[in-house]
Amino acid sequence: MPDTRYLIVAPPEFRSPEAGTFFEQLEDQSRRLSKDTRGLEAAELEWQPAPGANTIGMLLAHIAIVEVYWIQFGPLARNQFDYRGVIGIDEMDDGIPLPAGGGPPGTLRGRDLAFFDDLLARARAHTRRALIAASDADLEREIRSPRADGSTRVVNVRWILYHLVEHQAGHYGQINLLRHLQRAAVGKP
Amino acid sequence: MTGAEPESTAPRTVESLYRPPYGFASDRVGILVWALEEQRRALIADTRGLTPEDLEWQHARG
Repeated sequence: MPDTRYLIVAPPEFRSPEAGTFFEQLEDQSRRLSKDTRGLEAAELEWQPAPGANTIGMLLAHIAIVEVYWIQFGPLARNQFDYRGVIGIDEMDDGIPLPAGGGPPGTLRGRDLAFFDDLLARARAHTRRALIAASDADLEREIRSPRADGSTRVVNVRWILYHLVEHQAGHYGQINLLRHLQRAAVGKP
Repeated sequence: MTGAEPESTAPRTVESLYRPPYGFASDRVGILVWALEEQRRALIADTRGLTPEDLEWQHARG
């Protein structure tokens, strides 16, 4: 029997091993997410446990959109963001947050798993291109931005990479919970 | 985010800076411990006020 190995190793092509390690954490989360969503049909991807609740498809689109945002905001140091040019949909196309009692957004209606796989793959390729040349010093760079309440938000690039991992992991957990709720709703084990 | 924000209406700066904490022989280990602590803080903040009924609620049996 082969050994079961769980190793996070920085890809050698990354200039910064730390950035490479963050990238590998994202990749590991994506492999797990991909495995757990295989076989989902379009109807399952747009199923809601109740009106106003997120669907699996919405969460998959949201993961891709948010990844593009943070990579452009931090590592790429942009102040204007291009979602459509990277993943083919716009910032609000995930429908999040839904209004109370709302249904899934029309932009995602009838979309199959291949559509969402493509969003996620394109977002990740964009991340890889942005991080592969990043230096350790780049992770320390701070970005200041105004908040709606008049305060200022300060983040560094390392925090952005940490946040991308926690963000994807959090929504991955919600996706698995939705699958569980869906099976319970139709009486499947 | 880095802990609870102070209650004030004055403009302020909210910092989310992820840097190696002091006291660890390895910066990388320190950063990973920081991440665990950050998750613990967030989890505690989000579960304050839950009652025993909330904590044992099930959406369905099984």
